[in-house]
Amino acid sequence: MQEITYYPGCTLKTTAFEYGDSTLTVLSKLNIKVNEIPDWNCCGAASAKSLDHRLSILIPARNIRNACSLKSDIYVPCAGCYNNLMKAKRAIEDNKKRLEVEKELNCKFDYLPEIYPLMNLFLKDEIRGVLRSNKFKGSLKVAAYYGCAFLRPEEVLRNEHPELPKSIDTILNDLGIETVEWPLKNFCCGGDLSLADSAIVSKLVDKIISYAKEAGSEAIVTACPLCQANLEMRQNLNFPVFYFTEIIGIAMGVDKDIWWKKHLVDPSNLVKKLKEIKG
Amino acid sequence: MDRQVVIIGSGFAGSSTAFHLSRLGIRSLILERNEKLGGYFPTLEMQFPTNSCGVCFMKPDYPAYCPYIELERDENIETVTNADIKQIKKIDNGYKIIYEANDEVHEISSNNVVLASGYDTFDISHKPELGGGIYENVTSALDMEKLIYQIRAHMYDFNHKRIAYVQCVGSRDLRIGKPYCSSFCCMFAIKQAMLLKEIKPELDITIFYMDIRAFGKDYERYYNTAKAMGINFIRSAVAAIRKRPATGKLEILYTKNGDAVEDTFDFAVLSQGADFKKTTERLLKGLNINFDQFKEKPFENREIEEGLFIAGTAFEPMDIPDAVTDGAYIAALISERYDFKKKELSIPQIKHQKAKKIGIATINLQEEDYKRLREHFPEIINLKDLMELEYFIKENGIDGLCLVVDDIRLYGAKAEQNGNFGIHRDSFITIPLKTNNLIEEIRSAIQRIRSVQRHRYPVRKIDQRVAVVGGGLAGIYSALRLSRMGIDVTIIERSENLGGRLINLPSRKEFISNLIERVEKENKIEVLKGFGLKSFSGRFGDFKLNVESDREKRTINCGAIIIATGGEERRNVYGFEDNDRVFSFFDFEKRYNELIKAKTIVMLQCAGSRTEENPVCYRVCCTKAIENALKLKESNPDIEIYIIHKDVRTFGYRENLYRSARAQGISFIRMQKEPEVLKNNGLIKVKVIEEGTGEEFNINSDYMLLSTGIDPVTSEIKNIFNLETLDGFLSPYNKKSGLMDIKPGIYATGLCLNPLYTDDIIKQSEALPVRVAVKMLNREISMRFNTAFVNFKYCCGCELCIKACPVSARYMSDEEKIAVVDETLCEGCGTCAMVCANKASQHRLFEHKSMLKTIDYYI
Repeated sequence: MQEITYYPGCTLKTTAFEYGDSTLTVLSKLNIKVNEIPDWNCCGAASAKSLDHRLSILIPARNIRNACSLKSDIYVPCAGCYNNLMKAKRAIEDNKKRLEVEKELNCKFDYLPEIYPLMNLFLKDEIRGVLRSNKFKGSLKVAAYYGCAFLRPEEVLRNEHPELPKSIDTILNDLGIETVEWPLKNFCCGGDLSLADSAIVSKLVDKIISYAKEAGSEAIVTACPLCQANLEMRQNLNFPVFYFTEIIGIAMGVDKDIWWKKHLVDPSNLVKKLKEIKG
Repeated sequence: MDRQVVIIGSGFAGSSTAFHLSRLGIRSLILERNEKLGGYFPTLEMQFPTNSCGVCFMKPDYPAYCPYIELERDENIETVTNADIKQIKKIDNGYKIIYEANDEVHEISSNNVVLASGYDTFDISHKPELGGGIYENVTSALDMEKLIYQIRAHMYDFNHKRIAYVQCVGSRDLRIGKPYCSSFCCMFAIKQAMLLKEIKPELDITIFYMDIRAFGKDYERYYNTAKAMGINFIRSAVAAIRKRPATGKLEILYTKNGDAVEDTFDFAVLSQGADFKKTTERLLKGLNINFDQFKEKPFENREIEEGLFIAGTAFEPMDIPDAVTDGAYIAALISERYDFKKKELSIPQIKHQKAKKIGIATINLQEEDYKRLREHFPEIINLKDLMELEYFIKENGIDGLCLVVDDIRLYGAKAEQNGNFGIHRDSFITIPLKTNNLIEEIRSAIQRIRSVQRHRYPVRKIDQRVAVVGGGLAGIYSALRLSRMGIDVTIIERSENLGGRLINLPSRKEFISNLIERVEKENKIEVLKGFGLKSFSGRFGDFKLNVESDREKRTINCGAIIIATGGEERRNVYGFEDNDRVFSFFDFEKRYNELIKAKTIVMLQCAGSRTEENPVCYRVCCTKAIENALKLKESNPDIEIYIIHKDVRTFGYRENLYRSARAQGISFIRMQKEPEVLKNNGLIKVKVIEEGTGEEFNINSDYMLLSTGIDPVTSEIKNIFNLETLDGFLSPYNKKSGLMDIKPGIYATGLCLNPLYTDDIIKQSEALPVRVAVKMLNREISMRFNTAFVNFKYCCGCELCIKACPVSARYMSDEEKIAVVDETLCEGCGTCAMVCANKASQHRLFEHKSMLKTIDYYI
């Protein structure tokens, strides 16, 4: 049985409950043991980095310190958390900065776990095999949407091509779902401006949704809680936005009604369709 | 050693090196990776700034065919295509090159290796944010070149309306590790836009650029022409190109006045930059030469290691004229290791009589074509190849031949190469099969061969002395190189000192005085100081120059002339120079100690240039100003420096200077229009509006330095030699590849020809002597045959022909009162033969007598 270290972050316990719950449901169905980082704290979110650079490294670094004892790779479902943790990891990798972090956190980093976005787990061969055996039987087109935080800054994350990301597309294709080619995969959803200047976010979201529609998709599938919230909250086209784990959940027959109730755009029509074409 | 020189790459630099070496009698082997010779040349459709080709002028002697046909024909050049070079190894006195060609591994040793391997084009799929490699309506500039050819030939239905060119894709970009500027892409894009606009005037073309780097000779005019044609230029880097799924159109994101703007286009071309050549890197690594430094700056020496040279774009991105000059420069460096023998003078063969035995032959004709011909000419014979033809001629003692072939270019050229198999040129006529009235053509050709009076080939001896006009940097380098090739040189210098402009610069004083010492020690160089050129007469091979000083008058006999009159500082061109606080950047060194104490300094670029009245870019000022600014910042980091410019033209690796200037806090302001300048209590107030943002800057400055450029000194020389100039610079015979050839026997180098950096002046002045020596070493000029001639018995000296000649090839003889022909200039148009009342002027190939007979026969 495979074991992973899991950092849920605050959002997955609250506003993006459906993302967190679908992730854990799917992982348990896949027989993967999930070890939450003991005594984890907030990743610092947008606040830490805009107020104090030192804290924006130390807060996520504390999570990495706590994860060290588990000795396995950390998987992070939330894009913002992943981004912050990676920045802290790069600081720890730097010899000079590490001493500072070690002093502040009163620890020693002899071992540093790898940190991946959750998608990477589903790109492993054995799990891809399971996904492929749960293929949908019928045609459905969706648009995979990555946002910014999973991709940039490129030199810090060093994971996916920032202009040509593929992970969500690959997972969906494995499930037999066609993904459309569209140019706004990595376009900004407006992020934190949703609170400060919602007009800008509406403009950006409108563009994303209309392009996804034009490209012939029926829904957007994403992995970022903030993107999902913005895309659903600031649109007026009634275009559903899913987390990729929810789609996997339907495919494996472990979906829960409580997930759909959390969506701001009612996805029930599409959920119905997905269940109909389920293998 | 197997070969004297091995050249890797047959692009512009490589083939230029090979041609120049070949004419000096040095044999070279060219290894070309591709199937075809010529590097990128076969992929180009027309060239800037002429919108025509003209690469044939690259050859130092008269061009006959495309240089890439000539490469294969040349007796001193061997070419191997499809050659994959595996390794270069150092051996005693040279190198061993291991390469694979035709599935075999070959080894060859050579004293000299020239790396003219060029560049890889940047792969646009590394720029997916611009749609590179993703969308079918986003293409690279090089692929666009093919497309333009297809559009012109109606092979491709191009129904797009709005086209965007995006500059600096894969250059000037630190994110992808390309710090340099690729130099040629701006002009390349402008050229393509102009070609497209000519083919389809309804197209709406926009070029997105950072700086338009039109820094070469006449390039600024070219840029202005493009603007006048209605091509839009927008100064902004492009952030993204996205294809709208519903319409398939491209949305281009850029900035305008500080705001993000999106505009819709149908088609986009990415002007991809030059990328380091992977092969070069691998080969140099194999020799333990550090290539990584090359990504920051070019190699300091052209001879990287003894016998290993780097040429052309492998050294630094450059355009075609620069690459051709560069190739000749490398040839000059290599020539230093060899002695040249002057050619023996040939005794011209005199065959005045008419052809006695005339043959008609065809080569490789289709059976039915041959049958058709045989009905009319029973004696015609169909041969397999030129070998059989040679045998046929020798066997039958034929001295006049009419040859009918389907490929006149191929067989005609080859027959000529073989000296027409001993048949006089007048009696050898080649007729293409696809001629109208073929039978009549052959009949009249035979009649012509029968009746034509055969001429001696006109040959003229060349005086073995070269006169160099001007003793500045260009003149000195040309003279030194010529003397090393064993040619006598006379330098004519107007002032009392050699060294020109540089002698006044303290930082260059030692360098130039060492050079002068070398000139004065050289016994093949005669220096005439204080002599001015008064007049000239004669033609290529035997010029006479009348020079005059305060003390004496002299006449110099010479075979060729190099004009190196140089340039002079442009001063007082901007209106308010007071030479106290506002002065030209030429005084930078002189006023340095004052300048470092200043608080604020403004440098104004393009002062009095790139305007409507003076559309010239002086090429050097941007880099010079930035160098000066960096120097000031180094000694006093507190100085505030503002550089007000129109475009920053730091091409090639000079881009690094621009970048470090910005990193040092030097401010660059791109002016929307000429700034307003006010002098106020010892301070200079400059009010300037930034073009990108529309923001107004008011700068109180202690000093203002004006980048005014360097004017060519040509006003006198132009009248003496009756030459054409543009913006003061001498106009060459061909702007593209024959940049330094002005007229037959008259050459130019340095600042009188084009604006250049000091290093480039040295390069050009080292390269030119090779071109000159090639002609001098021949000791005689064989004229083209397609010219006019004069039967002096009938000439009455009416001068009608002189007035009629469109190329000034006719002139009155000094000794007798008859009009003669300069065969080096004559284009063979026949106008003089037409106007001559006495039939004294006639065309060699169309003499009245034989023409009348031919026409008789034809009718």
